[in-house]
Amino acid sequence: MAARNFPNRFNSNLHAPVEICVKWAVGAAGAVGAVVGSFLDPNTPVVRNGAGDYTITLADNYANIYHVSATVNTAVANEDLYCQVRAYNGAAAGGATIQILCKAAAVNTDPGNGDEIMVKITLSNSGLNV
Amino acid sequence: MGTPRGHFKGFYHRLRNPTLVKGSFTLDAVPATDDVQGRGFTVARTAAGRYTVTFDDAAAVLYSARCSYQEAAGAGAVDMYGQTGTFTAGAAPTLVLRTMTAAVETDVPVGDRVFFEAVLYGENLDR
Repeated sequence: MAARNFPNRFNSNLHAPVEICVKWAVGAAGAVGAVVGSFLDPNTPVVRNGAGDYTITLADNYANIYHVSATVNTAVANEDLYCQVRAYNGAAAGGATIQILCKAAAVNTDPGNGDEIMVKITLSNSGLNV
Repeated sequence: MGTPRGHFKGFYHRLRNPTLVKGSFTLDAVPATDDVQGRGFTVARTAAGRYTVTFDDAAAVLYSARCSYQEAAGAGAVDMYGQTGTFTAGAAPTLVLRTMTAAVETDVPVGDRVFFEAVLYGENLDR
């Protein structure tokens, strides 16, 4: 990395926004592999609920959610797959939960072995944003 | 990574004074945009599956943008994804968002949500 000086920050008109990034490796049959991220549930940050169906659990609860985007980083070049956001529960016991689906057309589909799912979530607990 | 080593929290970068605008909305039965969340913009449905975000302040450049779809109300079987469209710079800059089924602009079902974020240059936040 040639230049390591990044002196600027993004301006925002949201109050106290929090951005959480998480990614996980996908193993055989859609299994959750290594999870990378912070402020996640320390025990089960990502759970596979079924084919192409995952739930992320954060370490805390949040009052507002502003943005979620998810993408699949494919290990091969011929996967017809996209990610979709499903249920969100900011007040879930044990930490906010966000469900991510991986789909081929309308069908939940496991990503390939070796793929990664990358998710970015923007949240806030400030009542000033409403 | 060498520097910075202060381990400060937050995202640092080398752009000059960019603004990150994030928000989300649903569609009602009309259909029209509803339950808009976020600050610094308005949003309106301009055609089936097409929504125009108008930012409150001037912007000259759109560095990056994302749009995603949340199936909040259905049974998890909707074939839909978000896409960003044309950005128009100016005093009231606009960004087109789309929700797509295959290659066709399609309204999000009532109760589902569209998320977006945009990194803009030149938006004045001194309000």
